[in-house]
Amino acid sequence: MDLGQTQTLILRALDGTEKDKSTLLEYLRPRLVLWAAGRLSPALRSKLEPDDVAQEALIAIHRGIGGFQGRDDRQFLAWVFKIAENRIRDLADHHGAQKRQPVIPPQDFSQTSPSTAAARREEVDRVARALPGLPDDYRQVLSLRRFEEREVREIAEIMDRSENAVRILYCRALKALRKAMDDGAEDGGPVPQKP
Amino acid sequence: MTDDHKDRILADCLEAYHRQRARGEVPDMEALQAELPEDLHEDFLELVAAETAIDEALEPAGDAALPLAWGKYTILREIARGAAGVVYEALHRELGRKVALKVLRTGLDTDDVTRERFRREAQALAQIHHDHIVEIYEFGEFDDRPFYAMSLVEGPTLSDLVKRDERPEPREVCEGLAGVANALHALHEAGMVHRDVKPSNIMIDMNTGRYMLADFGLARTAMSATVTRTGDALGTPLYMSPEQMLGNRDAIEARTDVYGLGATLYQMLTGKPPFKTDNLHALMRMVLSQRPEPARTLNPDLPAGCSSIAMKCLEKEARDRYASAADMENDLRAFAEGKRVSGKPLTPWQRSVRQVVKHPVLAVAATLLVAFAVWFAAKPPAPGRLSVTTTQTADIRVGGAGAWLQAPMRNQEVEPGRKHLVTVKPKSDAYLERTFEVQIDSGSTLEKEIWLQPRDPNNVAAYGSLQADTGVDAVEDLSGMPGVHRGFGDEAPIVELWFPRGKVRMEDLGRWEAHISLDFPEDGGEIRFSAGEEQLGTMDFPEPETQLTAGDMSDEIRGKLQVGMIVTWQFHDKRGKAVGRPATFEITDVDLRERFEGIEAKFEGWTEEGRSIFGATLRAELMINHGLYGPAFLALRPFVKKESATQRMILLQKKALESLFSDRKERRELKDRWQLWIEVDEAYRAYTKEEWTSYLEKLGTR
Repeated sequence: MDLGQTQTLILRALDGTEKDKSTLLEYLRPRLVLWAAGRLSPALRSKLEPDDVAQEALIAIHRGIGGFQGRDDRQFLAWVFKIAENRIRDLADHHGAQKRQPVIPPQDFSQTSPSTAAARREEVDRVARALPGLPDDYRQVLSLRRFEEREVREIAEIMDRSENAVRILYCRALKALRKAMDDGAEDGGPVPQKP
Repeated sequence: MTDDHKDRILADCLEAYHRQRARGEVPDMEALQAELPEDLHEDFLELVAAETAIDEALEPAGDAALPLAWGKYTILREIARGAAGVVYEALHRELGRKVALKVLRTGLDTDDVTRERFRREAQALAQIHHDHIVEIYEFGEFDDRPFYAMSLVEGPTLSDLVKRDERPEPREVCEGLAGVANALHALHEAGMVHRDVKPSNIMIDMNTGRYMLADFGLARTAMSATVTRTGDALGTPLYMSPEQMLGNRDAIEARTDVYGLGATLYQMLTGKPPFKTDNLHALMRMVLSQRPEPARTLNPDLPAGCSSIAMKCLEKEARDRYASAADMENDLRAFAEGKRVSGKPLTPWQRSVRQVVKHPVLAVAATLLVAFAVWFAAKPPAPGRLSVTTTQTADIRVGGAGAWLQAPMRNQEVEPGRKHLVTVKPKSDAYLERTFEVQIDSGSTLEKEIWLQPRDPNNVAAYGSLQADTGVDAVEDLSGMPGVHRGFGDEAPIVELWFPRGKVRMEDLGRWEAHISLDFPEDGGEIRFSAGEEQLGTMDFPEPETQLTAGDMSDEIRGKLQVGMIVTWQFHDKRGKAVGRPATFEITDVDLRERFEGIEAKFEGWTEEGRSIFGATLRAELMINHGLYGPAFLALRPFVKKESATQRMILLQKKALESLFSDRKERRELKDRWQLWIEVDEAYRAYTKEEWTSYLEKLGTR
């Protein structure tokens, strides 16, 4: 990720107009979708779509952005994923209680943005489809490293492994992801075919 | 090696990849791979492919919006966007002053050198105060991105005027551009070259009416920087000089800017750039080898003076242009004041001489391009019959093949103004036969640029096989041969030797051709073949106007050929004296045609444009990899400088392709193809480097 760009977007969204905020949110959207695709447990996956989780999280972020205290992009991402984590929990409870209810419809912030939440892009799709089939630790390491943008050192702490072990795990996770993406493509899914 | 061990090595390499990315560099894939054992190369590429897929997925759907603030500036709007930078209109919050803020784009190919150059040029420019140069207020870095602030010129660029069809009168243009020429001269005196003079970089200040030169230091010499310039309608280097096309940094000097200013003048006079095509390679070919239509042909109302100024600036060779921007200024002023203009472009005769003499432009023009034989038979409508047989190099591009033909005439046939019918019979079935009427204008040369039509314009496969079937470009050879074309137009005989250069399979010997013409002693001679110390044999060369091809090689010689052998051939006259320069080819077992065909198959389902650009560069890359075509390598050298050739080609292709498509979805599909390309490349990599290097060594080329 271009952290410099995120920084600018964050700074602008904090003091800025609704448009600046929605730019930032749209910037976060694919990241949240992928993160959710990797994060949802098999039980939740039958009830929740990654897009819905992302949308819910974005609404919450939009609502709460005024309260974000930090200025640093890493702090900001940590804050974002904490909110997302909370949303997953809430949604899971919600579903536990009410079975399969439609999730809350998207709210007004997305109206300011030309891009639509529904149109999940192919690039996102390719990766998002491949993620759930991966083993838990693969998903976790990919998520921490690429979506949450954490340092290897941090990941080592979170996963309770050595830094070297994390690097190798990441490497294997990537390889598995690539393979899963290829397999997905061969299944004739919505992934664009190579010429 | 255990899997564990492999993963450990791959993980280390991937870390290095991430470190390079974190520093904002393009990961140097070749260097990274070089650290790995060969059997892990593919695994590593897979990993990088996965990283790339994630990168693409993380891109936001909408285009990233304007930055809001930049240090102490508030960004008001975007003015322009180029390959290397973005210009914003911005407000200095403390001073309350509006400025133009230029920010270096940091992206794929931004390296320290680019940053450093940006900084140095901004600083150097800050020292220059000139009425026609935009003033620089401040240079700095924000968010790790260098930028500079300069005075905001309010008014249209010349390119805006062209678009709105509001071109000023020729006199007014010349007067305005004289100021710019003066500014360029000041710049040159200070040891700088602008490198990117074009209509969109010259603005008319609404307040003073002055033509102002803008956009310094963003122009780069490499093609890659310019082909991607999104601000240009075509995304092509329309105003680039031949020396810039060649990426020859050493050749870039004041007269490069004279070319740019001339191209600008040309467009202001005619409404069109000197060359226009949407195919990058075609454009390159035109800039290197084709003469623009005289401005007055396009716009007959133009006074002659301003047209010659523009044409003189657009000469291919820097030495034929104005010697300095100051000289050009003098002529521009003279014209504006209704006086006589001194500069004249070359006459057709001077030009034809230049074309024939060894000429880097011509040599490289035929590079991405291919030489092939054209039979040339001229029939005058008048009594008597003229029959000339010659071969010429011709270039081939998608959509047509061009040949610049020169037929030497015998004295009795030379009659200026006389018309001849010329039939061009392409050697390959892929092209249609065409007949043209041409006339001898001067000297004793019949010359014409001739375009061939492919039988099936969509058949790229035919294009590929044509390549495999045809000869190796011998322009380079001609250049080094003493006396080549010396007998032009008189009785000197023409000899054609058709032998390969580069690599050739034994079974293809008869198919590969090199065209060499040289002064030939009347009594014939022979060609001697050798491999190192070993003499392989000779072939008789009985008389002038003989054609010999490698297919005529005797069984005795053939029997001695072996894969890997470097064969040298040299022409000797009857007295045993060597004529011309020896040439070499190597016997290989690599079947290039098969490879071309295999690759062509992968282009199925592509759009025509995509195929043309992609196909052409791919072929060029193959040429590099196989050391097949010396000139191709020369032409591509600009890309090879810093990054690896492969990486540069990929970047170039990717950008060229992207510039063809405005739609995101289409672009996305292209990205997939780009990946495909890497796979293709990878399949060939094993052969490439050492082979190429040793080939060059053997040839004694650098």
